[in-house]
Amino acid sequence: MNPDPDLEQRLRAYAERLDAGAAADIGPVVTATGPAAPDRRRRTWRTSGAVAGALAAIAAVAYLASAGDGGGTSRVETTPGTTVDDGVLAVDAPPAAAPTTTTVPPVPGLTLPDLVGLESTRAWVTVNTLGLTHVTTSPESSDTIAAGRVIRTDPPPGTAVLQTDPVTVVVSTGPTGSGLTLDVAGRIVRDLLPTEAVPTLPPPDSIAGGAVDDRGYLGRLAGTDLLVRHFDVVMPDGWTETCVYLESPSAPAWRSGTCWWPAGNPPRYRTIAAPAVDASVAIVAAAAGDAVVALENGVRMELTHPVGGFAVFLESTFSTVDGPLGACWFDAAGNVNRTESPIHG
Amino acid sequence: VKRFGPVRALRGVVEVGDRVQPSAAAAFDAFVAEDGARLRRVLVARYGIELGEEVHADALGWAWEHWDRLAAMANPVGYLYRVAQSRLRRHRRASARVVFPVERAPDLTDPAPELGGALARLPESHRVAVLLVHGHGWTYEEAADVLGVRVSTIRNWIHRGMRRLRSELADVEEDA
Repeated sequence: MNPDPDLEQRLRAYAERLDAGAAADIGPVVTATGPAAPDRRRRTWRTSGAVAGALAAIAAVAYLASAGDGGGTSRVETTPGTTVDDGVLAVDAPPAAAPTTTTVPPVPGLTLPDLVGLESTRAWVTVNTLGLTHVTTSPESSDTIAAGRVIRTDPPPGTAVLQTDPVTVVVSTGPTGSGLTLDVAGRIVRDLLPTEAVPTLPPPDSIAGGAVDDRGYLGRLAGTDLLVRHFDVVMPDGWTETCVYLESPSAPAWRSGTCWWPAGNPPRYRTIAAPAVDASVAIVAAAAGDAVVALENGVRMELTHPVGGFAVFLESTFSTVDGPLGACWFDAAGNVNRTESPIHG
Repeated sequence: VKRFGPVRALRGVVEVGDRVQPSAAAAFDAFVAEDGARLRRVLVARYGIELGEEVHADALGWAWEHWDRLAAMANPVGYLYRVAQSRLRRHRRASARVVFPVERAPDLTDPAPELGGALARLPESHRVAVLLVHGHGWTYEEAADVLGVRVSTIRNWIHRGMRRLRSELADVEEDA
């Protein structure tokens, strides 16, 4: 068999693309034949940006280590294949000695937008949309920038960056001495613990065709009643999924996004503390003081207190979308001032 | 009706979170940084860019929950590879589509779908062996170790996989 250095070089470049293109721009795809798995209410089964971004970050570290400083082109070592006759098969040998050098284009970059003055959540949405995988926040007091808004970024706006480049977003905590302390946040988390079992819950929404094992409890969060809905749905064919969402009897119009996941999957709360996580979680974790509470099986409920207020998120590694499934924002006094989500559910 | 399942879970996590062993957490982080990327490469090679990512995340979650056991293993990546496969089968996702990105042409503006498509159509074992060895530069021994097969099997898979890749790519060029 003839060695095929051209094909091997293409495979190396393609493998780098697999490494670098995790959560970000993978562009058009090709799909092998075979039917997709049936799905009950999720159209796809995907990890959240948290995990996918973590993987992208891990891959990107390896990529950057080999790609140098990311100038016009990067240089990598490649090796033409050789034919090996071991008496059994003629094979294409793995990369070995005598490497030659070729040029491979870098991963496409982007221009960091101007986030200054944006509310931190909007900044978070922006960087998440761009696919930046190494974003952290840094709280800083400011007498001029309102709490919760971006003071500056490092690198500054307009800088050309790769999606894997580290980006720091400095968020105002307001004038010195304002904002919640971690102690206060911790007390609020404890307040979230249920105060009352709910013997009979009204039926959850939109459960078509499935038997529901319903359970839940009431809690209070910063003076707000919070009903945690949590139930299993067993479909006629035996497929079981679990659902969690939050709703507030005090504010019936509000309900968090709903989180579904296949039964039997384990919790994912550990990923919140990993250093290489995607933009959304990195921001939350870095700015938050890491008051993290987890429900079961991949749902995280996070309490953050970075910016003169705090928020509760629901996230799941089984989300079909990146970012929180639901969020409830409170001001520094603990009053609900905004809710986000029903992204789906 | 398990009314208090989430209550216990909530309290349990809070309590556990307060006494997480820093050394274990650091060791796990190091494992993710070093071996997590290798595991990801194997799983993406086998299951494609989408499902492979998900299976990888699932395997890392399992790794954390069983870290005490895993930390003592000589070949944790190989073990997690098998864990990932079994969990995927259990959750009935094995028939989910296998997606690979198109290969980018050198100028990054003209995607050429041939290689990605040809790889996606390869038998899983052949694809994994080809991508690990020729794509990521693993040795035969490294690939055999993680995949849990003999080196001669890896040679066989690569031989067959590369032959089929060349054949498919040649057909595409002729058609063009």
